[in-house]
Amino acid sequence: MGSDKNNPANESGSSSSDDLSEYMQVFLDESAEELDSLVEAILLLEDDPRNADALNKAFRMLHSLKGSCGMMGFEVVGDFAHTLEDRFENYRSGKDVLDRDTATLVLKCVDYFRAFIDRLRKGNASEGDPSELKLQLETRSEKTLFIPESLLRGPAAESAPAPSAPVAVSMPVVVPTLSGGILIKIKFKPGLQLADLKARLIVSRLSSIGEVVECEPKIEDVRSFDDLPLFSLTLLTDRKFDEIRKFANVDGVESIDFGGPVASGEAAQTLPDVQVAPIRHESIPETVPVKEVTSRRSSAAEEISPSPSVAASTSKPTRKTAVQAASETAEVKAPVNETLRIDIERLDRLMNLTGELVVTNARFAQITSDMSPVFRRNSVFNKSKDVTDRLRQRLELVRQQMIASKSADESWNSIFHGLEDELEGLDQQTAMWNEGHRHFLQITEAVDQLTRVSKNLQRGVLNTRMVPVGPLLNRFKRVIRDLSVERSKRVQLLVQGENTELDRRMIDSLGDPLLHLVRNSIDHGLESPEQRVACGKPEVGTISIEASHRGNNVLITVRDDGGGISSEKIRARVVSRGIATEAQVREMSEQQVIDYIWHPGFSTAEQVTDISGRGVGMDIVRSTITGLSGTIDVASTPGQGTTFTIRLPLTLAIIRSLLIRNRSGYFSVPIDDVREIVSISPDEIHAVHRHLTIDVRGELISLVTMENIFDWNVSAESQPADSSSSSRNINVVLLYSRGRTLGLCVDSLVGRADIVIKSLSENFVAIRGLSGASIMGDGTVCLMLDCASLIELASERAVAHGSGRR
Amino acid sequence: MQFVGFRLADQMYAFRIEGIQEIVIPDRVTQMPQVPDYVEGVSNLRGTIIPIINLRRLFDLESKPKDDETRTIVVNVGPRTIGCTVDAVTQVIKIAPESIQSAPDIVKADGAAYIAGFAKLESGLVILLDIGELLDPAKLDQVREVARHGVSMSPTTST
Repeated sequence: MGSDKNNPANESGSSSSDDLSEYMQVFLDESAEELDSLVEAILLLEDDPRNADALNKAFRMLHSLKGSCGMMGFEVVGDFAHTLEDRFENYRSGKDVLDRDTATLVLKCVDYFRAFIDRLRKGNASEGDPSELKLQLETRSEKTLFIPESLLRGPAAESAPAPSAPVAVSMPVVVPTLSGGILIKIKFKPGLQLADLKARLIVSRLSSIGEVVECEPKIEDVRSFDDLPLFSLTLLTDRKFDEIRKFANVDGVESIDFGGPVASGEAAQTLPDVQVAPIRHESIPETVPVKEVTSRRSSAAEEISPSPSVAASTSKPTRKTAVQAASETAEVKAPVNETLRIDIERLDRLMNLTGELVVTNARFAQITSDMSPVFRRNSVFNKSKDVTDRLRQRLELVRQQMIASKSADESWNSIFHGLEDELEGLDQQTAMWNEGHRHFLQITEAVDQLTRVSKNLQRGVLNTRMVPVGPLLNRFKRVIRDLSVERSKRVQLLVQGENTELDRRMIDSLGDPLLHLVRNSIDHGLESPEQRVACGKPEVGTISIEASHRGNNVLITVRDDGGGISSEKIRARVVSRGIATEAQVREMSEQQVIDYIWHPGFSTAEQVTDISGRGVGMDIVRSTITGLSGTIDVASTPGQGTTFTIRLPLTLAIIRSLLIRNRSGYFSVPIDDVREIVSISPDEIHAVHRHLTIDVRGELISLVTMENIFDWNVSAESQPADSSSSSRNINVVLLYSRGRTLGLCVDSLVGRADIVIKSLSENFVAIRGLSGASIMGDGTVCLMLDCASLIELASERAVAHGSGRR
Repeated sequence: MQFVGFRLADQMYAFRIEGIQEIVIPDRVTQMPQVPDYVEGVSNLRGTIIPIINLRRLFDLESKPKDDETRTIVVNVGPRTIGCTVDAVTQVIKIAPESIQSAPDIVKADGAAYIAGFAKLESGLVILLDIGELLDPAKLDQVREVARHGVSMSPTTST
């Protein structure tokens, strides 16, 4: 974290250093985010090609991509990003307008970048060959006018903008920016000593007449330059050029230039012996951010710095990350929070430790509550005090009696003294006891406090893993755009609940299943525009993705307003595939039929396209969701559309559970899987075809015990026979999963607990019917039941052999 | 080479010391369903849940209640941490590589890859076990099968 500052924007500083790999992760993540933002901008531009915000954003993303590629030493990719950046410079300056075909081409370029990033993630650093795309880009640009050829070429050292042409065309760019920000380029005399100090001096002098928003190279980095021939900065001021010149002109400055891309011929002489890349490229974009500063301060703050003064601004790389992550959710300009990138493994470790803490804390709580009956009540103390008091009174009584009967002599007196001393000692013990009681109360208080703190800590740590689903959902804009073009359907995407938060690990795994659902909706759900019009629907189909909190769950729905799922087609397919017989299918309800879409290998696509039907079936979607401890359901209304509802737990790390006890030990069941708990007397259990069944309000539910649903290969020594419960009422937990209910007999219900789940397969193997284990307050291991597979297991057992509890 | 010697029934065995994480007095074990009988269950080792394999049962020997000498040897098998209970841990033994005899062909042919070799000490014959071959969860069943048929032969060579 402390190394942010040496994550340089210049190429010279870091390319040789060994810790490049340290930046690799940051690079990958940032680039992926930049590409997402770029796509978002391009999609906006397709509808509104002159949208200045989007143009700037796209430009910025390309620019930063180019910079970071350069830093990481990916020259081919960086060069290609530069080509694209140049294109966007033209769009931004109004010389050219982004048309749809070019947008498609640019999106293809994004795919190239994405493929590159993906390869890198897998450890393959091959940069690929973008020359084909580049050629297409350049061909396309030839059609437009006024584009200096040099802008289209790669960033070879001599490719500085030709001195004459840009001057004319760049004026329109520069002029509007002058009202607010001015780009100032200062050229120092060659071989100037202490140029860094001069640069600082200039910045501080200029700060007195305006606000310095950006420097290139950054003022903090200047130190590392032995030679600083060219220094540029952006100033927000209302002063005239002459005045600025006066302030900036300190000893050692050779020339001062203002405005956009190179206003005089000096660049041609200077640039070749300068580190061209950072300066020349950086200098162009500076003009635009400035425009934002004046027009809308908040957005400029995102681009440039949390505080627009350069003196206060620190490391650019971190800020950029923070800002982009936060600004990803599109146009809403919320105040920018500072963020920090953390390896998720570290969070996992923290999460585990917190889990341990909570468990240890539970152990303390357990111990104190065990001690309570003895210590907590004052009564123990009072009682012993009472007893000593009474003893004392009796002693006094005896003594007076003896004095009255005159039978007292020396030997009796010493006995009385002895007894009094004993009572004295007892008093002291009682006082100590009382002291202990006070300490105990303090301990319980401290444990309560610890409980509060550790609960809060746990919640806090959990929160660090929660990220909004917005970026995930917004990714689908691109998918939908591409698909709608390909499939000649018109589709709009509505996204709601972008701020709904979900465990980061889940977000990562949700991408593919959601993508599949969205593809599916476009491919099979939505009708062609003609059909839609014929049905009296709007020509543009709608796919909406909504995320929301529902208690301990997050719901994500993917809804389309297409034709719905044709149950007839499914019936036909089910029969033709031999999954079920004609007769069986006829007896099924609509919902039962529709549920066949989850059947492995089932696809209703009439033709196999490259969109759906590529082998990733709905069954994969379902198993992915199940793997996340979630469920997915489908509802469809013919002619009106289909809705998929995904229900996910808020987090995978902690599961709210019901603790139950059986003679083989403790078990936990996720609360979400418990339908209800009933208490039945043994004679309410019926054997239907040798299957134990109970009747819960008219519904017959099959009943299992822990002993007969599982194979317990435990040797006789450790399994005492226990039949004491046969006459008493039996607690039955009704487990519910995927529309099926199963009754599980338990010996006792222990209560609710938030459980930190650990995998069994980490050190051993996965076990069917169990989803993991956790450590209880007393240090023993508690197994967690996996209800879905338990129910499956039960029905298999039922087929294999009848069970017999009685 | 250093080994940790332990006893099962009347036979001495040894693990290479490098594969051993620690040796603990058996803690409470939670029984697990759906596992073969040589898996005693799972136990909590300072916050990590590890399976406990009963070596007596794995070798198809008569089982014996736990006593003061019973120990759990915690070993690392690849990324996994696994515990196994033995009758007693005896000592750390140094064995020169040249005094290790490779397992007889007949044992090898039996598929008993978990037997790394034998060594004759003053106290008797020690069977050197390969932790990775013996306790890898994927190989346990096979070890059990081999032990069922082969173990009757190997102790006869001892004492």
